[in-house]
Amino acid sequence: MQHILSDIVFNNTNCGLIIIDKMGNIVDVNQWFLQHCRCEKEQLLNHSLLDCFAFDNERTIKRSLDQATQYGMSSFISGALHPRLFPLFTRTNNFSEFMEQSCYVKSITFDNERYALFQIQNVTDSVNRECLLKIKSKELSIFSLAVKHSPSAVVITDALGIIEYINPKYSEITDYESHECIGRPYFSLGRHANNEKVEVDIWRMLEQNKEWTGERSNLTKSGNKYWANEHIYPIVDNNDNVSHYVAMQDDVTQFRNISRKFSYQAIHDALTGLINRQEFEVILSNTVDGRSNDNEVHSLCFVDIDQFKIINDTCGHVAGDELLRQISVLLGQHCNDDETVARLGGDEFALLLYGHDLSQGKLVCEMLIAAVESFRFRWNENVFKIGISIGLTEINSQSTSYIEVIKQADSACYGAKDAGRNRYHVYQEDDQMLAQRKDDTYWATKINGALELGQLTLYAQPIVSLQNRGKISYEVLIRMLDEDGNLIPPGVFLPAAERFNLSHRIDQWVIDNTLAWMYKHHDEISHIDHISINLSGLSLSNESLLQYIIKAIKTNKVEASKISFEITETAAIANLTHAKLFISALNAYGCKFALDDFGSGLSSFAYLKNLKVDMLKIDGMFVKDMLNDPIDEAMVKSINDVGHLMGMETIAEFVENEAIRDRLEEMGINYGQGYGLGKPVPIDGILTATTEII
Amino acid sequence: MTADIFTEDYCDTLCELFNIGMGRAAVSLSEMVDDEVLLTVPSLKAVDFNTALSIFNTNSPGKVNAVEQSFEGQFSGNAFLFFNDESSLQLVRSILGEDSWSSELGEMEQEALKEVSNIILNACFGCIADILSCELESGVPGLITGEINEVFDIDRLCIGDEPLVLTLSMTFSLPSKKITGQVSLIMASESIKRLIAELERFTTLYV
Repeated sequence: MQHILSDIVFNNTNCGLIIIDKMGNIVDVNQWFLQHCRCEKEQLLNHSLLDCFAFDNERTIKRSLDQATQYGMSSFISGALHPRLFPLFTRTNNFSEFMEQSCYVKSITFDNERYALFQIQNVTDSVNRECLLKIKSKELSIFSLAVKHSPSAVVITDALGIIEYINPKYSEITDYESHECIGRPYFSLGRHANNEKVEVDIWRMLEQNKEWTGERSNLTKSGNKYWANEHIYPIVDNNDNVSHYVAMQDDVTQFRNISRKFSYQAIHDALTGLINRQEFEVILSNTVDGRSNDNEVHSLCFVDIDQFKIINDTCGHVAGDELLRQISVLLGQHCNDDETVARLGGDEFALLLYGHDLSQGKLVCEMLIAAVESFRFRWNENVFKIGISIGLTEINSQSTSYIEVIKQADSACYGAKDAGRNRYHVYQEDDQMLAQRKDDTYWATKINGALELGQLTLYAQPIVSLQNRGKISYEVLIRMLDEDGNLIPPGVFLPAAERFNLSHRIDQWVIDNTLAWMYKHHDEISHIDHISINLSGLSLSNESLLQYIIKAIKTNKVEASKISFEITETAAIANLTHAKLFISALNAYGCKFALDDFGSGLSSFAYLKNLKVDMLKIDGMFVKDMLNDPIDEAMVKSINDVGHLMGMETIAEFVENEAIRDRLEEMGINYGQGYGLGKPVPIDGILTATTEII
Repeated sequence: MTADIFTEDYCDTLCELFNIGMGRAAVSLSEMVDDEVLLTVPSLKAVDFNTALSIFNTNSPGKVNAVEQSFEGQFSGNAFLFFNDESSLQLVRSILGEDSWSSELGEMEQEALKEVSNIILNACFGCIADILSCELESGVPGLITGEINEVFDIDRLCIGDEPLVLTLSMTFSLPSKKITGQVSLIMASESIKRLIAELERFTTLYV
């Protein structure tokens, strides 16, 4: 019975069993094996195992057989190293395929004889599963390597934002090692005061299963700030639940620095480092539009460097640039950090004074003018005194737009220049002069009209000899009459004439009328030494005007020696070549030349060597205060000394009283001119020579 | 009983026998992988069970893959060949010629490790049985994966009193790698005495 049961078990086992004797012959084989090898039992029994099947690796079979039957050793023959050891087939879905097997060879003893029991297991499913697993794991490995070696930092967190994985790039950027991050909330790393708010936004997006993309600054382990372009997205499982979040970061710190540099350049002036016009307009626009209440006022200043062109023309652009730089530093030093200083272009600067009303703005203007006045610009051997003109306007509830405010400050700046430069002018809505000045053609029309309608008239002011009480001379001055016959002082319309290129026409009118007057009164001016006529800078380069004067001298038979021309120092220097030609041409006819306002602008004695002038007119600014200011007095004295040394006569302007006159006389100044010596009078008034000479 | 009874002389003799066995195993493996494989056993030591455990813990910390085979006959015990995780992977993948995409041994790789270890262990016993002319029977190999303490679990082994451990390091020299594994025979003191007796008989006859 037992024997039969063993047979039943033997033939019903779900694995292949073959019993081999010492000789290598098959003693028994079970049903499972027969079924899968498609052989009849008779074909195998009592046949040598090695003869029955063609084995790929016969040696392995033989070794296992020997070890089992001779030494009692059991072996294992794996499917991995010996695929398809026996030619067995498996049947699934009517499709027959080779069976993958693994085989135990167990030594068994029966009747003192050793046998080898081959126990063959079907591992086809395992092998297939393994193959599939290998493909999948290879695929996964590639993905995980891709993440590991990603040039972007990658962090994977669980659904609560707790870090489960960081890749090496994240460590590289942040200096955090993997073990320092895992288990910590993602946002706790790199958090600082300014990025906490963003966290809230990010979570809001993520909680809606949306991804978040943006640029965010974080801190590294050592506390350094870096900027990352960050992309955080949820991973949703099959049940639509968020299982993980993936955060990817690209370090854009360097890129931001470069772009910051570019944006810096886009809004700053390269020369001075101040913000440029475009940016200033943006800031101004925001300031004008952004006023929160009616009480909020600001002040806007337009600053223009007086006579900047002359420095640029005479010393070169490098000097001009340097001056701009130094002035920009000066402006910066006298402004608070919260005030905006900009260079609008050329020699124009602008200041936006937040929270300053006009009275506070005025104080700033005064301070700036004083600062620039005491500043000296040194270039090579030369030292220049600089002045600025400032236009000031208030930004208040009446300010409609930034363009309007700019126009106001610009007009006010012109106002400051017209009023004599080196000062500030406050824009006012009811300021008629500036209102008219808004119209560029106003003065052009006015001057043209005056020239045509004869609304110009000549005045003369005496120039008195201080030394020998000799003959008197006169400077011819021009006045304009308005429609009502009121006098318009030259300070109002001459700067405008210059700006609108009309000064040479005025010059021509003055020359024309003066020479005609001299011709007409030829016999009545014998008591006059000479008549002095002012020439503007533009006239010096006007060839036709020169010819016109020569012709006039010739035709009117006026004594050229009775004519003198006054050229301002700045005009002469700015047009040096033309000035020299002009002077030498008229010198030849016997005309005299005087350098006007000497000392006011750039005063370089070196220029005197190049300009053959007969007289130096010492700027009135030094003269009027010379009794109180020893520096002014020294200036007057030194100009006088140098002038004399160079063979020039000297004339002092602004001689307002007798004390000054006495001092000038004492110093050896040749001539004096001023209210103290004689006020300007209509030109006919000098014929009778009744002007009272003090 | 202490490990002292297994003197240095016995160690040397047994080591020689194992090296003969290793030579045979190397031939089998070389045939199988169609490339040269060298196996050597430089030294053998006898230690008590607890000492063996602490040595293994120091030398192979972490997870190990061990192939275990029991043997019975004139002397009996359990034989182990174990590798640490990395060595197992290196060995199997060198033999199978596979890429290493995973850091875990796959099912088929475990089978291969079992076969290779079986060849080595059988070669050792076969040699002893052959040369010492004694009766031995070995069981089929099984793979155990885990910490050293789990592999050498004294309750599971049912090894008898005061077991001794004969431990030998063995080196696989594959064309591109050198991999070290550890062979251990754990035997009850009675079995050790019988082994010593066999070794003595052998030395009297041949040395």
